[in-house]
Amino acid sequence: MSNRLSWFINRFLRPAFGRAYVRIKGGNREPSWILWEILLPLIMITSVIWAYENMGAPEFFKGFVIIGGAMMSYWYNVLWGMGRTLYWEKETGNLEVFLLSDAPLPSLLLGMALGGMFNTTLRSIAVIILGVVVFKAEFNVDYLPLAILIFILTLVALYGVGLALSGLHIVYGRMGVRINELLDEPIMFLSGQYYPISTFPMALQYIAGLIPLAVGLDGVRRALLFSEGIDALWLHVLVLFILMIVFYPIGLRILNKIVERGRMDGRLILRWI
Amino acid sequence: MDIVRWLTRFKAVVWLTWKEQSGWTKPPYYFGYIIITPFFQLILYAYMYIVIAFYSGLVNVEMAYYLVTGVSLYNFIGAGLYGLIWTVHSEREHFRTLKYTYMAFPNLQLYLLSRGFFHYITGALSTLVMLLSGLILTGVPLGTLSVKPMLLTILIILGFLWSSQLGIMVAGSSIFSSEYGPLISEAVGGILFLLGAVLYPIESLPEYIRPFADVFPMREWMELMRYALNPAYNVADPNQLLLQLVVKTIIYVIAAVIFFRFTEKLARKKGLLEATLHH
Repeated sequence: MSNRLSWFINRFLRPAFGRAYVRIKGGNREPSWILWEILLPLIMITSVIWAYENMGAPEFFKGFVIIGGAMMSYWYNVLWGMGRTLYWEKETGNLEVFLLSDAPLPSLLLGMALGGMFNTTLRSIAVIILGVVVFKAEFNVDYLPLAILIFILTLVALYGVGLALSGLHIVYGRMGVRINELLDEPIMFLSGQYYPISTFPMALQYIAGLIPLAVGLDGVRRALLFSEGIDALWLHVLVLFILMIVFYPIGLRILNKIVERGRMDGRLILRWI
Repeated sequence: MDIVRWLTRFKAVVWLTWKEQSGWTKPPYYFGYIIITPFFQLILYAYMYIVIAFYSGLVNVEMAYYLVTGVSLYNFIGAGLYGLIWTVHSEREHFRTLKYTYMAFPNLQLYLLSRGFFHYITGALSTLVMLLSGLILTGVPLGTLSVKPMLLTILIILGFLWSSQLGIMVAGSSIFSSEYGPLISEAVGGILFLLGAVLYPIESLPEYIRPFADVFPMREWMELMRYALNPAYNVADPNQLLLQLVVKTIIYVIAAVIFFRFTEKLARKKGLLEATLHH
């Protein structure tokens, strides 16, 4: 085994799985939390579905809302589960231990992302099942493999975004938290959480095309709700693949730069800033 | 006079909240921050109406008015409620100052109320921006609106009273659990959104859910606020609704005082005011 591969397995993947284990174990140790985390998104999904019913919207909008609600959780996972966690670790004094350890920071962030994605997937599946049972939403499972491919590409591209955002939390503390909050609603809007982005004006569609979640959400919906195959969705796969390749090195570079700057300014272990 | 002392304390805590909330940036950026998030929240929901108008080709100004006012006014209640409830969590778990606050300030309930008041002010500012931009965005003619200033003022005061007292009760419960405190606050906010005539009238809810909506004063408040902003808005009996709102507000105030005294006493006995669990 080459040195590089050995380093990747032992110094990058193993700490990542170790961190993911902590997150999975911690996130599921209390069953009532899982119930809450399923019920809370369902409250919002129910509100929007009833609003659409009140407006006389076509039936397929129910499926739109359910998929939107379930997939948006992954964005929260990137925003809060990766970035915010580092802020929290700094506040509780764990960040300095992370930085002193042999494990690279992106590896620990990958662990947080993987663990968070596992937990989010459990809850999202429950949300979708409940949505189907309660609201009688219909999905075409023939195109499930394509939807899963688009979904996985979306998550990998989102990881790159998460890397960049995590840096903000390390150095900017409370300001990083506020920036995170500022990203919540605009991304929900631009990703078309409750409606098809094809109804946006063209310029807005191009902007949405730069957000992995918007592309992924649209692709998954079109596969599962409108039975569109790879011949119709190849562009979604291509765009996500490009975003994945572009965002990872950019995210890594931003993270490294910010951590370096934090080291020089002595802000890495500065609390309550 | 005692009331002057209480008002001085109230003002000091509101000022402290301003410092704590905005201390990470400069005031103009902070005002941008408190407006951007609610603004996008508004267009997220207003766009639902635009999409349906796009699909059906039908424009329904009444529906647009209902949706925009609902989301904007909910922001006022939600901002204050969350701000108030989160004080317990952030001061105990994050800044670990709740025990000092408890010793320094003579009344925890009034302290929480003062902390929450700041969030009601910022909530009112962003609500105003949301209302105006939302109505313009969805094509509701602003010229048709005719505000009833007296009723509006009374309703804003009543809205602050009932929702802050609901917040006090939730904050009282959240002292007992650092894990569930934030979840309870989100759940209460979510339930108000679901059952509070925000996106749709209560009459369109399934019948078995409607009695739950009557537990909260939100429906009466929402409907009367819509009426106070635009008297052409169809409300069956505004006086009856106002009476219901006042009665419910009084009940909430009394319940909050009794409940919070009980929870505070119990929490002090169990030593929970300084217990942190790293959540």
